[in-house]
Parts: sequence; structure tokens; C-alpha cells
Amino acid sequence: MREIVAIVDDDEPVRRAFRRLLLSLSYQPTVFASGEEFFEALRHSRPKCAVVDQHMPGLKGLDVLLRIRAEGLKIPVIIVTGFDESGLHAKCMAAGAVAYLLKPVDVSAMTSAIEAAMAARTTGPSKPHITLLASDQR
Amino acid sequence: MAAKDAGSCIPHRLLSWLFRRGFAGFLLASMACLFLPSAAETRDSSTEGRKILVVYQSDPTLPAALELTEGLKASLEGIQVGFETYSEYLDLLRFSQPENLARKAADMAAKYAGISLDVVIVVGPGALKFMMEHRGEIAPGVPLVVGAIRDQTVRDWKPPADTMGVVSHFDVKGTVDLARRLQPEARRIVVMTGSSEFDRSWGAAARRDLAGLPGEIEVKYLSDLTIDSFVEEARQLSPSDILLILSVIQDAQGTRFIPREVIRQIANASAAPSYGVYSTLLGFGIVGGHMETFQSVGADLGKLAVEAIDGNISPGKLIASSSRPVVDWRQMRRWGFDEGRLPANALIEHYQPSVLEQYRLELLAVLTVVFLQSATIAALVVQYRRRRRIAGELALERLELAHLSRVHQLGELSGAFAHELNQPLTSILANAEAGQRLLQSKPADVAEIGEIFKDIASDDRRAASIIGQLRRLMVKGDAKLEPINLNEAISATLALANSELVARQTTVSFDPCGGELKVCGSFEQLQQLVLNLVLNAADAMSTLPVAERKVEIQTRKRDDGECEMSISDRGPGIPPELKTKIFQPFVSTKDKGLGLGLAISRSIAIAHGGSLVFDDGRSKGARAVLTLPAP
Repeated sequence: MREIVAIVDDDEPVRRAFRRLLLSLSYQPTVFASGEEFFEALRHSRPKCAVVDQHMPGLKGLDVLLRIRAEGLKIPVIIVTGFDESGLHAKCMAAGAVAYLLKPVDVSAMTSAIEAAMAARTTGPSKPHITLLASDQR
Repeated sequence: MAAKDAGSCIPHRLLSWLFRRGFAGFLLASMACLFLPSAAETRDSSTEGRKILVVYQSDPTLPAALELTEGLKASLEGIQVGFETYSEYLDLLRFSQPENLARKAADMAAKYAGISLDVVIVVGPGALKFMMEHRGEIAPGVPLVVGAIRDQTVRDWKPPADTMGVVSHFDVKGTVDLARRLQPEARRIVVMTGSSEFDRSWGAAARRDLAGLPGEIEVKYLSDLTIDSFVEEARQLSPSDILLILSVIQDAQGTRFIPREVIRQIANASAAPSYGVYSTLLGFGIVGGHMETFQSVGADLGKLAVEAIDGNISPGKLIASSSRPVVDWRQMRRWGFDEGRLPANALIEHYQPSVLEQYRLELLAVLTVVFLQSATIAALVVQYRRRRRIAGELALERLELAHLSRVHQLGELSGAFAHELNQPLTSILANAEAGQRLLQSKPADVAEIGEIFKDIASDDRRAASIIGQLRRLMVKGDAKLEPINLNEAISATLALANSELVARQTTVSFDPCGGELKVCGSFEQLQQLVLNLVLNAADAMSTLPVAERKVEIQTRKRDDGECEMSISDRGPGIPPELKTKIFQPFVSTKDKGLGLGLAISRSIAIAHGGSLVFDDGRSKGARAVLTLPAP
């Protein structure tokens, strides 16, 4: 059975591409255009992990992460961003992100991050987080 | 007409020479004429005054006589005591018969019998001969002062010992010298004289005076011809010849002439410039000659008369009349002679001043006005060019500033642009990697792979569009104004700023008027303006709750045809104290703002012929209104 991975990104072409990638990686992707939409969906299903874009209208990636933590949901979160804002990486990791990925994300970085998220889910949030920055992805 | 000295080129002595026209010189020099008495002139009725009798050989109407009298009167005015003059005109040209002269002498003897004359002034050789014969009857023992007579004549006739005189030297050699100065290339001199005894005496005088000429100069003498022959000879001359017409009173056929009329006929027909020795011939076709003036002769006679009256009689004293080179300016022009060749003491008669000399003041005034106008025009042109240059420099600086501001703003938005560009790149990479995996599956999902390619192509175009937009804003162009769609410029700007607006959690709604909104403008400058205003609006709302951070953009075509764009926010609005200077450079409501954004935005609006204002109508927030003229 395929693991459900949520994809939250306001950019429709990016959502569609991530969905295809995760499908090819044998995951079951579910896509959401905003954090608000994602939380709405959580009422019905729980993904194994969430790949969340930082840069979105409304709830940003970090906001989604903080809210998941605040609500005590055990959903590992991978933050992806197109712009490495100063201090954002540290904030995300401190908030419990499994990984911090810079766009564009290649398949190995995505795979590693999702695997780490799956592992984190089973071992709990105290496990070491994975940080993949732009330089690490090459 | 005017006369002037050759040395100074300034017209003068005009009055003294203007009316001296006649052939009295010939008459005065002639010896064969008779005269009639004329009216006496009284200068001073004082009984103590000196009494002076003037005997002319001519008639009283001749210019030479008039000129001489003028000079004489001026000289006699120097006498301290009063004087009285009596004038007698013998008119020898018409009444030279002995019986006439005898009658005249008797008449004068009776007339002056009771008058104690102090001196008798005798004008002309004919008059001298008359007085030599009749002095005992008319004025016994009264000293004679004679003038207008040649030195040789006086010496030959041996007048009474108490006779003094002003002798004329009709300067043939001087006249030839003058001619050769004007015609240095001349190698032949043709001398014309008539057939009368007087004419022949002139021929002899010329031979004597011209004997010393250089050998290369040929002198040809023409005499004893008819008038027609003289004219024909003159017509056959070479232009380089010098024609000297000395005296033609009578021709070979015995016909007597008025000399100046004959000389006019010859001179006008002559192919060579002609010269003479009598000033009375000036104006009758001759170029000129070395001449005396009858006025000066009169003045010299007056001086000698005064000496005689005062008892200072120097028996046999003869003084030479003053003479100088005199030319007719019109003849100088006719023969193309250079005025600069004239001797410095030469007198130019019939001088016609050039337009420059005649209207010097007027021309000076006109030239001054023209100069001032030209100077004014030149100053205006210089000023205009300077303004254009400054305007050009200002426009360049404004363009430079606008570009720098734009680049600065784009730099600040680099994160947003990086995100905006990374979105299609992310999509492309994920799609490509998914596609590779799909290709490895069996069977490959060709339809999905096709969709992947479509998305990759679409994202590629999206990335290229962003790069193009950025490049357009980054490049420093010459800001050409061209027809563009304002709605499109706004949409493109919002697309470019999307990431930044998302980051600022600011929602922008754009309500364009239907269809295109054509304006004449610079796409990138208007984008810069829109970007400035939108980001300003977002900044103004940064402290508001996210839900309230809304920017509204509207465009419309006004009734007057102008295009309008308004950008509204829900921030605190423009502080009252900044309303009048918010568009000035370095004025900002933001802590970190340079204060150039709005100044540049307004400059852009003005450069487009439009305006940019914040209207006061809103109770909350600010609304910037851009108005652009219809294209």
C-alpha cells in the first residue's frame, strides 16, 4: 500500500509536477493549494508526511508546521522554498521540520527527505532532522 | 558733388570748388580780347577808406572772375581801415577792337578823374596791356597789382616798375607727372594745341617743359587741325596713351571756339585719358592736371594790394600762385584709376561719396541694429541650445536615476524574483525526473509523458517570460514612448511582484477597464511606476492584519479621453504634513525608504505628459491616481 504524502503549494504547475514525481516514487500524493485547504483535509485523512511550500498566501510553510505542532499532529513536515530567506532555515528546523529543501528539488533530495519523514514518524519528532540545503542537493 | 583731398579721403573744400566752372583761365591768359566796364562794388562807404579799382579782362559772369573776386574780397577784409572797390570788365573776347578800347579808356579816365585811387588790380594779361597803355589817363601814378597772368608774359612786357603781381604757372610738366602717376604704363604722350597765337605759344611751352622726359616716353604734338580731326585723332588713341589738351581756341580753319566746349568734345571721344592745365576745364571730360585755383589767385592779389595801399611797394615783385594736382573723381572712375596713386596733396573734385560715406550714420545705425539683433538672436540660440543641452542632461540624469532606482528596487525584490523563477524550474525538474521514471515503467504511460512534456514546455516559457521581464526592467534604455496597453503593463508588473506580495501577505485585486487601455508610454517605466505604488501600498499596510492587506487597482478611460489608473490601499494614508511634499525627493513615510520612489514615479508621469497625485477623498488609506493623455 502506498504511503500518502501531502503536497501543499499555491503554484499549480508545481503541485502537478510534485504529484507526478511522488507517484513515480510509489507514494500516494494528495495536493493542496493552501495551508488552509490542507488543514481542512486533515479532518478526513492523515498523510504520512507533508511537503509544504514556505511561500504561500495565507498560511505559509512555517505557519503550517507550527500549527501542526500546536495541534499535536504527528505529521512530519518537509519545508520547501524557492528563496532561502535569512533565518528561515533555523526557524523551520527549530519548529521541528524534518527537512528544509530549496527549490528546485531533485528526486534524490525529495526521496531522502520523505524517507526521513517516514522514519521520523515512526520514531517520533525527537529524531534528528534532515536539512538539505541547496549546496547539499548537488 | 563734392571735393576731397586725396590724402584724407574726407570730402571738404566743397564750397570753394563747387561753382568754379568756366574757361576764364583761357580768357585771362589770352591777350587778344577787349573788355567793357561793369558795375562797381562798394564794400565801405567810409570817406577815409582806401579806393581800389579792379580791372578784369573778362565779362563779369564768368566763373573764373567770380571765384577770383570771392578770394579777393576775403583777403581785403583783412584791411583795418575801410576800403571801397570799383570794378571794370573789359570783355575782351567780344570787344577787343582798338576803338572800343580807346573809348573804354576815355570813359574810365572821365569816370575816375575825381577819385583818388590807391591801387589798381589788373586781372589777366589783356587787362595789363590795357592798363599799361592807358594808366596815364585813368590812374596816373597809381601802383598796379596784376594777376592771372603767366610769369613770362609779365617779364616780356616789362610793365611799369611799381607793378607787383601774382603770376600763374600753368604746370605742363606737373600735369604730365600726375598723368604718369595715374598711368605708369603709358609710353606715349599726345599734346594737342589749336591754331591761334595763344594756342601756339602753349605748344612751344609744352616742348620746352617736356624736353626732359625719359627717352622711352614718346611725345607727339598735334596742332593746326580742324576740330573734327582733333576728335578723330583722339578716338584713334590707345587707352594707355596720355592726351594732354593745352589750348584750342581756334582751329586750322580759323574757327574760334569756347575752349571748354571743344575740349569736352575731344575728351569724350578720346580712347585715352585726357588732361589739361586749367581748373576751369574740370568737369568737361579731362581727368585733371596740376592747377591753380582762381580763388587763391584772388586772395594773393588782395594781399599784394594791401601791401601797396600800406606803401610797402616792392617794385617788380612777383609771387607765384599756388597750384596743386586736381582730378575729376568721375573721370577717375571712368578710367578705372586707383585713387591711391594720387599725390597726398591732390584735390579730388566732383567727388561722389560712396553709399557708406553718404549714409554713414544711417548705415551705422542699421548695422548697429542688425548687430544687436544678431547678437540677441545668437544669445537666444546659445541660450536655447544650452537649455536643450541642460534639458537633455536632466532627462538623461532622470533616466539614469529612474534606472538606478529600478535596479535598486529589483535588487530588494531579488528574493521574490528568485522564488518566482524557481517555481517553474522546480516544476520542470520534478516533471523531468517523473518522466524518466515513467519511461522505465512497463508499459510506459505515453499519454502522461506527453502531458509532462507539455508542462515542461509551459514552465520553460514561464521562466523565460520572467527573465525577459526582469531584463527589460534592468536594462537602461532610452525610454522610448510608444503605444502600449496600460492594462498589460499592470498585469505584467503584478505577475512579477506576485512572490513579493505573497511574502508580504498582501492581496492585490486588479479591475481593468474592458479591453485594451492604449497609452503612449514606456512599458518598463510605467511598470516601475506601478511597482512603486503597489509596493508602497503593501508597505503602508504591513502592520495591518493579513486579512486587511488589500490593494485595489482600477483603470478606466475617462470621458475626456484621458486614461486613469488608481491604486488604493487600506493603510493609514498620507500624513497631512507630508501631503504637499510627498513627491519631493528624499521625503518618505518609511523608516528605511530613500524617498526617491514617489519622486521618480511622478517624474515618469510628467515625462509621459500626465500627472500623479494622491487624492484626498478617502476616509481610510491612500489612493494614488495616475492620469495619462490619450495616445
